[in-house]
Amino acid sequence: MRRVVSELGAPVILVVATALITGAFSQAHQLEFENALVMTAIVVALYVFIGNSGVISFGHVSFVAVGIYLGGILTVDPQTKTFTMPGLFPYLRHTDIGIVPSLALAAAAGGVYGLAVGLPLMRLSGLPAGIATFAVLGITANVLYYWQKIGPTAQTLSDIPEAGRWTLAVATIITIAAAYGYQRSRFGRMLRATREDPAAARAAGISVYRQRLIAFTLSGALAGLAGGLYVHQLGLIAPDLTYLDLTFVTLAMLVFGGVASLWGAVLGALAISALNSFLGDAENTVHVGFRLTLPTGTRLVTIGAVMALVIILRPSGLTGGREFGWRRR
Amino acid sequence: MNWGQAIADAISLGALYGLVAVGIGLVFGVMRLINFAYGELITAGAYVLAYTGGWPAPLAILMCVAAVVALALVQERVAFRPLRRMGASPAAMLVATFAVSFLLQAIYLLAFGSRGQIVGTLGQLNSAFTVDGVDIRWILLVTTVTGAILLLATGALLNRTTIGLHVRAAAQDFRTARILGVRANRVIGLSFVVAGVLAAAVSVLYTVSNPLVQPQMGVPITIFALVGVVVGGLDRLWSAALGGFAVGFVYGMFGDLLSSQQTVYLPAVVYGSVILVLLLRPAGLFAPLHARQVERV
Amino acid sequence: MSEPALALENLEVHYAGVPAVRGIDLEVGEGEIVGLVGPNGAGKSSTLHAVMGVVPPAVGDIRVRGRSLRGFSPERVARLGVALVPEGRHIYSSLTVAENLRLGFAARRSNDGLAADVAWVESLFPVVRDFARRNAGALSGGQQQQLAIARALVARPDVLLLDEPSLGLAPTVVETLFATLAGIRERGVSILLVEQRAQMTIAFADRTHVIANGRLRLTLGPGDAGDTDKLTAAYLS
Repeated sequence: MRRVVSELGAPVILVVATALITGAFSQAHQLEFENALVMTAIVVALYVFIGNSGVISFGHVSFVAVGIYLGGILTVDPQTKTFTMPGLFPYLRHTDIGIVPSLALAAAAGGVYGLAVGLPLMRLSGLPAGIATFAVLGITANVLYYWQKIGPTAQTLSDIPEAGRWTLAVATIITIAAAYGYQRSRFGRMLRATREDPAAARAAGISVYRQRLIAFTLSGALAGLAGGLYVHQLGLIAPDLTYLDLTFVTLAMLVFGGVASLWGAVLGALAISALNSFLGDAENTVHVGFRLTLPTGTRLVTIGAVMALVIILRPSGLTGGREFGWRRR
Repeated sequence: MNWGQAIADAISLGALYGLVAVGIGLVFGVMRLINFAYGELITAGAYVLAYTGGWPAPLAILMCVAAVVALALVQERVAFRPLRRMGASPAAMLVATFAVSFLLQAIYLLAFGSRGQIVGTLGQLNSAFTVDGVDIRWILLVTTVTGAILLLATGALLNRTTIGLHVRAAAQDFRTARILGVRANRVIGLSFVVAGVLAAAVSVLYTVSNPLVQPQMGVPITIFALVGVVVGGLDRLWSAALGGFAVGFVYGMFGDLLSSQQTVYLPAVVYGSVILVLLLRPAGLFAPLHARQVERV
Repeated sequence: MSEPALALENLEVHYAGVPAVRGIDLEVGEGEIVGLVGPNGAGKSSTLHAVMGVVPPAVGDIRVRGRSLRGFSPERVARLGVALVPEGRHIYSSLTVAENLRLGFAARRSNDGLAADVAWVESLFPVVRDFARRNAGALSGGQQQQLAIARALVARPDVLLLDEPSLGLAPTVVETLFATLAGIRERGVSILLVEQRAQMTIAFADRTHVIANGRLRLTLGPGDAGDTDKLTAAYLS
């Protein structure tokens, strides 16, 4: 029980603290804190599959994208939609629901997409899995960019209702709790066994394929939910929002914190978000005892360098793949 | 658009992607590493050309080759060698190359800005000659011939020299090669040098038709070549080259013959076929049927 | 007294923290043939891998003519005159026989006498000449084993390590193989022979160590070849 309190409590407290601090800052900074919460949700969703299975996925932003598009479009007023996106499927065009129901639908759609993708792809592992999931991302990005029946394509859709920081925080905490519940469940433990030693797990009667598929579907659903949060945090859908950059940044966060633990996922997301936000400020001058102005582009270079350095020097990330706890093994 | 021009376009695009595929495949063979940051080598070469616009073309090209080879060696030395030493998994290495790719793009953005630079080197090759009523730009011929020569030269290097033999042995069984006294760093270094030369050649040839250089220009090139490599099969260079060529050729043909309305989903179709190939023929389309099923892309 | 060609001093090898070799001392003198026998998983291959630098020793040292190999990469060990014929041969099946042999040149310290060495190896193993242009994968198991030894020999090693060369070979072929090893020793090559065929090895080698559970249990000379009781006891220890 104490273990649950510290392992689940620590990430949750971090998220609540982030949400609390948000109120104390100016408008621009509030957005960055809210964005940090959303990134946390996305990275935790990634972690559910990658962390527990040990298989890389470059495709998860596809599920985030489903959440963004469905969650966003369903909450926009139908009149606006008829005007801005006349080609939309009738259901998408006529429906107008609240933020919370849209989040539920986003999660469901992410899960369904995850299941559909996972059914064929979970047979692969290692490099082929990396490339195949990347191909899924490519397909999703390509279709979203051109298919007018499902979204604004190359246009930017704005005026999407925004969610408050507590909605974001609660949903992120739900994501964390789901991830934790899964990893402590029988399924989570079986999947972790396949990560440590697939042959031994198979010999013990565990179906690697089935366990991976379960995790992939759950992580797809959580990614869909996170996508819903993202769109209600940004208030808009922009083309190429959900392609390489988001994939890279979220993977960087996960690797930075430590792929193999939930604590690592949360810590990584918040730490890189903080770094990102600080560097973004520094590009427009910041006071850190002295006036610091960094040239535009420093932010990306620093994030890229931090990511590369962590992978090369400490592949197990900040947390070394351990959960939060007072006693270190 | 008529068939003659479409085929000329398609062949030269195929040759270009064939080169990229061999560059990626060579490094994969030796290191089991898919270098996602390969495209950034091409971008680097293009920037060198953009900044040496006033130089005589041979000198600018020489500079481009030198810079790209140097960057390739830096990638290996700084990023991939430490990972190899640690015995990182192929998937972890893939993420690492992803990071290197992102980092280089960010550096280009910081150093050269987002608006893009123009390459003028060899621009005169955009003029056309006429065969049988078909206008063919010189660059298409130059690309095809250069591509063929470089592929043959790479093949000769691998098949006719001692270090080439060492590379081939290392690609099949790295550990045994080292036990026999093959120097790992030298073999890997060589494959990065050759990959760098090929990338530089692509920089030169590609920028004649696409003179605008931007930080992210290498990404789609890498992705499509990677598709070709996977479709062709990574284990054999010639099949990787063929896969790269096939993707380039199909792209060139469809791009010319279909209207833009019809081609917008071409990337999705290409990616979809990658997934199909991975699931149905994991050794690649052109691999022999009995090919090993282990350690496969 | 000069330094032994190969000396293992209190060698320990771990895989993922689990000890496979738990402190063995072993010497191979100039021109000696030393056997190392033991059941599967006793630590025989791990010992050879440690010598070659494939796995770093956790504890202890390995010396070649008194020179420590600690921290050396496999290619560096090979270039110091140690050649390994690996278990399972590890022939390059997609390369030709001649190319496989050429790979053996990689570890040579000098190309002086290369032609003579090749001629010698071809006289020992005519198959490498007769089938030079054939794909090595097309050779029979015994022929592949010959190629693997030939490939090691053209490196002109001082120390030859063989990991279960008799595996999968017919008994008559094994006899020929051992006779060839005796001929190789005549050229001053020191040999460490790892084998599962204990009796044959004990009868053949100058000295044979029995390894079980990562430790040396017993040392036998050719005179002990018939003594199955001692051997069984060592295997079960």
